[in-house]
Amino acid sequence: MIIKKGFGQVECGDMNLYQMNVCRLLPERLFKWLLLAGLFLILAGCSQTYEGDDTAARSLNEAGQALYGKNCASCHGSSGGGGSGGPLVGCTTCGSTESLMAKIKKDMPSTSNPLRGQDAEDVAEYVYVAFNESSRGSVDRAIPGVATLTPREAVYKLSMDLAGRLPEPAEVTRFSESLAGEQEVVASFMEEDYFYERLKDVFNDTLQTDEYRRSNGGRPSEVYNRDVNDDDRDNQNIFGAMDWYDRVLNAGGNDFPLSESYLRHFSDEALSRKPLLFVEYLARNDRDFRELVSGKYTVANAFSWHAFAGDTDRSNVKAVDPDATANNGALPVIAEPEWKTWPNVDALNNYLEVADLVGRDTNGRSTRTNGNLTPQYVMEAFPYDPRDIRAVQLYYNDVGGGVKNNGIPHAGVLTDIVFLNKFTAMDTNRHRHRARMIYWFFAGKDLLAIEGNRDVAALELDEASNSVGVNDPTKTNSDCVVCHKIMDPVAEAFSHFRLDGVYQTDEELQVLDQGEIPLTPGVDIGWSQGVGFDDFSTSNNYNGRELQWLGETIAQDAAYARGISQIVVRGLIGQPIMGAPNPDSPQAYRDSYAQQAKLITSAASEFSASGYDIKALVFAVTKSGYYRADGLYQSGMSDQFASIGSTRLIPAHLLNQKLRALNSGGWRNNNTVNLYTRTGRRFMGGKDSREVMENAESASGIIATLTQSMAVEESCDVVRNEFNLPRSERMLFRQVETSTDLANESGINRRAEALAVRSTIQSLYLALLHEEVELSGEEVDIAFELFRTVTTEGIQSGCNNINGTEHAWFAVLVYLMNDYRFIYG
Amino acid sequence: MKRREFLKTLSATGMAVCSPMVLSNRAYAEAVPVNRYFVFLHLGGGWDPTSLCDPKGNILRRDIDPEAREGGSPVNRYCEASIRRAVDVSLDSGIDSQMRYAPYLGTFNADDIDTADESTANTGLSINMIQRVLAGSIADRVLNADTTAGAGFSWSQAKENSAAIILSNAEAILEGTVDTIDFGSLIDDNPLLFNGLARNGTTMNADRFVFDAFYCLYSGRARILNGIDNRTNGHDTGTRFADTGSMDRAYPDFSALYAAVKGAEMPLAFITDGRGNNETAGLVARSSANDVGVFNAIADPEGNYLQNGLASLIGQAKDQRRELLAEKETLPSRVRLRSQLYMVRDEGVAFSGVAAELATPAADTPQRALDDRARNNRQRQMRIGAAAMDAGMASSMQIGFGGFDTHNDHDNRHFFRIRDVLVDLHYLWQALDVYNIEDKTTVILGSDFGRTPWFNGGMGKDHWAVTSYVLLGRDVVGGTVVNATDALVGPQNVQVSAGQIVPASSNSGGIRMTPAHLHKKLREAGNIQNHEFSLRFPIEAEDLPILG
Repeated sequence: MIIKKGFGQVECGDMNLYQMNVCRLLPERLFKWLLLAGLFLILAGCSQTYEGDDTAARSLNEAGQALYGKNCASCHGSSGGGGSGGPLVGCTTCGSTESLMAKIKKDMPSTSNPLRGQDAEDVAEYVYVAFNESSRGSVDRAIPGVATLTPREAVYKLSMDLAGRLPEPAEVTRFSESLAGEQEVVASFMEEDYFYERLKDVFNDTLQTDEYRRSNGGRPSEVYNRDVNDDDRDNQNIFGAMDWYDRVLNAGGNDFPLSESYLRHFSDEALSRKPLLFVEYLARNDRDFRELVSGKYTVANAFSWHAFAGDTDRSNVKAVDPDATANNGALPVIAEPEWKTWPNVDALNNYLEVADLVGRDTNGRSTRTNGNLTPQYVMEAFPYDPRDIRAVQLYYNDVGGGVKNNGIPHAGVLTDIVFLNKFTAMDTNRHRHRARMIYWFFAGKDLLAIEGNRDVAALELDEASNSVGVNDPTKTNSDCVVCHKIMDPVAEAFSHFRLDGVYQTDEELQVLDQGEIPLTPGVDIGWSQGVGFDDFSTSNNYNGRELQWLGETIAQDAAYARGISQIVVRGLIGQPIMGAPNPDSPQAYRDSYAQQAKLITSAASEFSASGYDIKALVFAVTKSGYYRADGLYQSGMSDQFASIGSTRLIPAHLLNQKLRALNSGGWRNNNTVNLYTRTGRRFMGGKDSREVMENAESASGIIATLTQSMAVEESCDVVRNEFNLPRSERMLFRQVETSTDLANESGINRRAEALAVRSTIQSLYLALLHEEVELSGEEVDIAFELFRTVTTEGIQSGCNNINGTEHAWFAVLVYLMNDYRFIYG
Repeated sequence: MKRREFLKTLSATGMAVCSPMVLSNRAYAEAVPVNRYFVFLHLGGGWDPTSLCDPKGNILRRDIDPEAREGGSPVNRYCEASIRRAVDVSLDSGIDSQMRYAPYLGTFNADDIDTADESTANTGLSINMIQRVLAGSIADRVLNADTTAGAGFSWSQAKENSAAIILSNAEAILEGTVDTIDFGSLIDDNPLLFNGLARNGTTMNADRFVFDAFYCLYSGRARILNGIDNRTNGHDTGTRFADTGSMDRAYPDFSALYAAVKGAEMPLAFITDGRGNNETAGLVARSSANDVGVFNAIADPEGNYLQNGLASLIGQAKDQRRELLAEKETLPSRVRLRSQLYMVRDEGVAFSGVAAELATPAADTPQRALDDRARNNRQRQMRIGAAAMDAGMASSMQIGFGGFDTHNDHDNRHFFRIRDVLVDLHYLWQALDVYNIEDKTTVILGSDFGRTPWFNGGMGKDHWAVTSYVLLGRDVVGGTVVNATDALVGPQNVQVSAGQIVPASSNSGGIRMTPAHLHKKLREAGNIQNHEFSLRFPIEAEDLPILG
């Protein structure tokens, strides 16, 4: 047991008045807990600028108003909009009067002379009610001056974004009826398998843990049983039997109709995406989303269960009951998990229902629909594991190959080995990067935005000529302390986890510290370089499982909702989260920031009010006027609404899904672009979370030109696929046949034919561009004229194996897919 | 979309710099070569200049300063006497004798330890041996060092009489066309100079001489800036400062800024591999250029699909739609993205015409030979980038190198990373030469920051704010060095004397060089310092003759 600075050694004299009082009164463990909670509260520097609302329902605290005018307004602006002291609207301490009060008492208006007692309370109440209360509650459905999508446009956009498909007519009708109808339809979208893929995608936009996914060039061995120094010395084989395929495939029974790579694919997916599988687990089971950090478990599906040797007598995994009370941080094990092991191939086949999954009929023959499905197709195009996901407890093997009795003290993704590898630590940064990311992901707080001097040359150091002096300034220099005192305690909570994410007990750490038995040479991360801000390294009940304590603390903090809201907003809107403006920022930036921050805060409010239901958060964002912004009612307001809306260059993999939804089978052309491949996605601006960390924000010359290739190639595929189907099974052309006679002698027939064509064009605008146009409007006229000319002149396109008016529909589709709206969703 | 229409759109929509995805107005340039180019190489993770251009030696730190932190560690593992001078290997004349470089790992004897009293003698490869390598002769894939006995070998004579051979040998080392250096009888003749080396009998791997080959060929073009203070030891901030000249998150990389000013509509305006800071501030789209197949597709994007007049008919429909959208679309973000796409697509017509040639140069041309020599994606991107610049399709390029964050096992993991950079830099230079833009291009090599002038417990080196930059090419005075670090790699302030940057007598006066000083001069070199975009992202720094 290592205690760098035991709790009993906390020195109250090092603290400010508020901390000292608390320190004297509270038992040790409780104090530590409060101190960290306080860190979340006092963290300043991230804020919003939207103006206060004069119509706030509650009356303003007059005493507070007067004090504000006297002590605060000169720095924060009379309306809280900011100045040299930054804005007080929607700031991270502005979520409640309590958090505001803590901040004010600590150092407002100055550290040397902060407001106290009733004064602090009055000002806190005034700031909260005047500048913040109106922003809480629910997201704005309408934004003054901003036009939003029509219900039909909105349901098409949402259907594609959340369910990866076109909406059914009944859904369009129901959605258009009322907000309840919207909610019902969107809720049904969020029950589909695709949604959970999309949700994982949304979280990956921030977490980027898909670096380890095979389709991005990664592999599980970069994380599991990792050989950090590439010398085989530190590879402990903590998971002893990850290659499980032969155990099943060689066990007898009928032939497995697919290859081993199929099993490897799903197994690798479950392992490499474990943090995202956690997200899926919580969403699928409507669980309290705070378990993402506080759950005393991790997750596995049937594939990773086998990879963790769940089918052997040396299992590294046990199913646990996530609803039970944890005992010393460990959930009770479920003796009979619902998973069936696969003793032979028959059992495996039965479990997988392989035929359905890979587009084969019950006789094992491949079905040839939707672009010639193959097993490979399913693996690449829709790589979700349809099987149940369970809460589990993991156990390492010891160096002798036996399974340890005590498992990892899980705390959701905080202790996830994939997460901890992505956000690794070093001997020198001592988990501080991890701490920074924790604050950002799960509290929406940017440590780099903390006021403080990072200009090393300007710091007053012992050696003026040296950027880092003899003494470590992070503990002594006030410019450094301001951040490190917030960051270091969280960092130290990771001290039982190595840089490779492997948990180590106190005994193992002791061995390392003494250097006697270097289990993991070069990878120990100690706190041996002196006393940092690690005062509450351990407490009696959390020894060795500090991250469980951290997870519980985060989960109880109001800022958690904001952190998750940021992640979801970023993923769904497609914009990076904007940094807080400074006093010199242009007004347009402040406006953009305010609108985005307001959406984040309001959506967070709905999220917490829902009991941390992640689907409620998704719905909150997608119903907002921000997400659905479509235009401005007045000219001259462009600066004010420069960034509003969710239009973005559709990320490559989502573009592929859009094409699949339109029945093209996805863009798979080996001569131009194959969006099923990493290379193809990257050329269309897609990220891989590995070398390219951001999706392209706009079309470069390459993307713009390749889009033209996409338009002709995929339009051709769509026409072929669609007209090969009976009308009732088509996605786009249910109203027309392969022949259309616009010159029919019968006027009635002519008009009927024309109406069918126009109506189809109208629906194509909705399906491809999410744009509702008039049947007799100019947009339809343009496409109709194109259609008519191609038909009447009998023009044959270069799209082979189509006939008659299919060439005209091909032309119309090429026209639409070339539209900027097709690639900017 | 043509220039006037585009500017009109921008004016009407009031594009703002603040948006996270803004394409803003710019000075329009026709899609013709801009005749002035920049290539920014970012060494990701924080490089160690003392492993190349700011060598210090291995005297213990406490012997330099008794108060020094980590006093029991040296700065480097090689002794001071093993440090080499560019002037001793360069083919060019006029090289600053203070331009020094580190011996590559395996070419020095780590057992030579400097002491507080005096520097030890070098028992690893001497400069004479290096010169003999460079002046040697190639047989198959072996470079045989010049074994002429004793005083019979003269480097100055070799340079005078066999410059072409030396050049060819250095190129062979940099291009990997020789695998092995054979010292033959030199080992027996000079038994005190071959200790502690990574050799196999009389031979050593040729790639251990890349540093020497590089300085042989490029000293005359290179300017070394030692002692630039990146003022942080955080990766994000350091990368930002290095690439933009500011620690502000809103600032665009210099490469992106230059590309935006010179023509955001260029199909490959800003070529980047996604590494480094990679911030455009919404001014220009990023382009990647390392896949030849895509370029072939771009050459004829619609293939034979639109036959029999269909292309024209669809074109008419698209034009009508564009006009309609120009009136109808009012959401600012949509207006911007629509305008940008059509602008780029318009320019893309010209792009398609040359894309295939960019991707696959005609047979039996120097360009094709260059392409055939490319050994990695980075080099392919460099060649295509140079070709695109020459064709008026691009104006700047940013290329990242990874793996420099060597917190443990530093020497074994760091030297070869630097070697790879120099190899690729050599390829880049050849590409610029083949496409005749060598005299129009400035190359900048920088990093997040430097690394600690000591080794940690894992034999690694951690983050250190002080670093070095290497500049080459247009407007750079080659063969020069600014050595503004002390023996412990502390930064020294500088002053300007007789037009040259020299260390100030003390840090109480003078100027601390930072990336801001560099970027200020880069903007001037690109003549974009007064452009609206540059003014929007001002850089305030003293006027230092950073480029020489």
